[in-house]
Amino acid sequence: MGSEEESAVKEPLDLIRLSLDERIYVKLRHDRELRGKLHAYDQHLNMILGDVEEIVTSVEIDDETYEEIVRTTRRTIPFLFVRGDGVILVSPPLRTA
Amino acid sequence: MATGLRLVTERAGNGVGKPVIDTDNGEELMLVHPGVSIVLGNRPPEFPGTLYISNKQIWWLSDTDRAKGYAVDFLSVSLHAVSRDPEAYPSPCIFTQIETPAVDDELVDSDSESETLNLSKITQMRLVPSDPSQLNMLFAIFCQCAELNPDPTEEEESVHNWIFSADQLEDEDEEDEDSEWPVFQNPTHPIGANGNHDLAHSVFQLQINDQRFEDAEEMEQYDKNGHQ
Amino acid sequence: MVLLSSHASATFVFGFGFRFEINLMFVLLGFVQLFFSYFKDLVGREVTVELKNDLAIRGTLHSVDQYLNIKLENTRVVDQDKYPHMLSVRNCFIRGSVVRYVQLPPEGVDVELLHDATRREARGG
Repeated sequence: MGSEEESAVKEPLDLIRLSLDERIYVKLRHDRELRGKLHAYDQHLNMILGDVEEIVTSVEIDDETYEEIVRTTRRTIPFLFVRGDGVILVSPPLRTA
Repeated sequence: MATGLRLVTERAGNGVGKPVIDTDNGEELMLVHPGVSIVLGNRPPEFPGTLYISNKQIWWLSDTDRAKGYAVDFLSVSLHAVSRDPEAYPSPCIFTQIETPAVDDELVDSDSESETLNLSKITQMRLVPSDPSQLNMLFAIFCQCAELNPDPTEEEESVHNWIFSADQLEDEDEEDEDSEWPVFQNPTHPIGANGNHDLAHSVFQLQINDQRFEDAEEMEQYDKNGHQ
Repeated sequence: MVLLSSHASATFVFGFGFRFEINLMFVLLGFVQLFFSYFKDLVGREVTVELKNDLAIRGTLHSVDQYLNIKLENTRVVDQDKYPHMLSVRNCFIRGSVVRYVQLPPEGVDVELLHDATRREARGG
């Protein structure tokens, strides 16, 4: 990693390369979010993540009160291949976190 | 892009007829298999009929009613399987899952109360051959044809729109409104707003030189090395 | 630093407000290779494929092709109450584009190997 060549950011995917072996945040279509360690990716943003936590947010309307009920479900998955066509956003870990 | 199941009312030839094959566009018939029943969703089986498989689509045509038939593109078949479990379905069959046209559920619900069969909403189709020993052969042909029909998105939409600054989001939102992947529906968060135009420019330069071809060779090498 | 991406078209958008359309077929040929190779090495192992319609199918990976279409053997549906019709199909072909996730067996993930392959591919690009 240390060499100048490797750390140079020339194109967007370089930003992701610098996050290899780091925990990243991935937002997917249909209100799915992943946090996990990035182990592999390609040009399509296909990825393999490790120690993954997935959060799915769904909004239901209560039949009687018509109130919106926001439900989140969490689960953990040891290793996950994520197909890139569902990916909306990839973010390296927040430095403040 | 998925078109789902379609009704087929036109046939070629006399008598019972056969499906209209679009040979001008490279379509060719791969298999004709008589004695097949079709089960759409949870409806009762329909028979007798004949299964036709081309390199692009699957037809089931009724043997008795020339105006009755169904077709589905392989592009819309998201999964197919050999089902022999009597608990899943009493007769061994090819089970297919069909991707339906992307429509807003709420819009569909408003006029779906009629009893008429809405083919575009059928998500499961079973094909039951009278001779179950043919299932593996049918499965193999389905696999072969599915592989002949990769998603156009795989090839044409392979490159991302990279967003570098927030003011691009509004444009994108308008452009993508009618696309199948409306990613930026609510660009309320100005994330990625680093406005780094130089970065974008360097992407442009990277893309138009020929380094990519070198990659291809490298990748081949990697592939070979990785499997020896 | 955040990256947003969209598969809507093969278009790069620049800050200056102009677009440049590029056909990058050759990129594709190289770049899907990493995961194609990876999945080929996983053949024979148990995986769980989750589809975009929420159906999750567990089975032995039988084969994979360049489009990441997946063939499974001895499959079973993970949530059988919800999908009784799919109960234990023998062989199953899943179109790559309908896959959301594949849950991988931990013993089938060599982290160092993946990092190396990814870096090599990224450096090439």
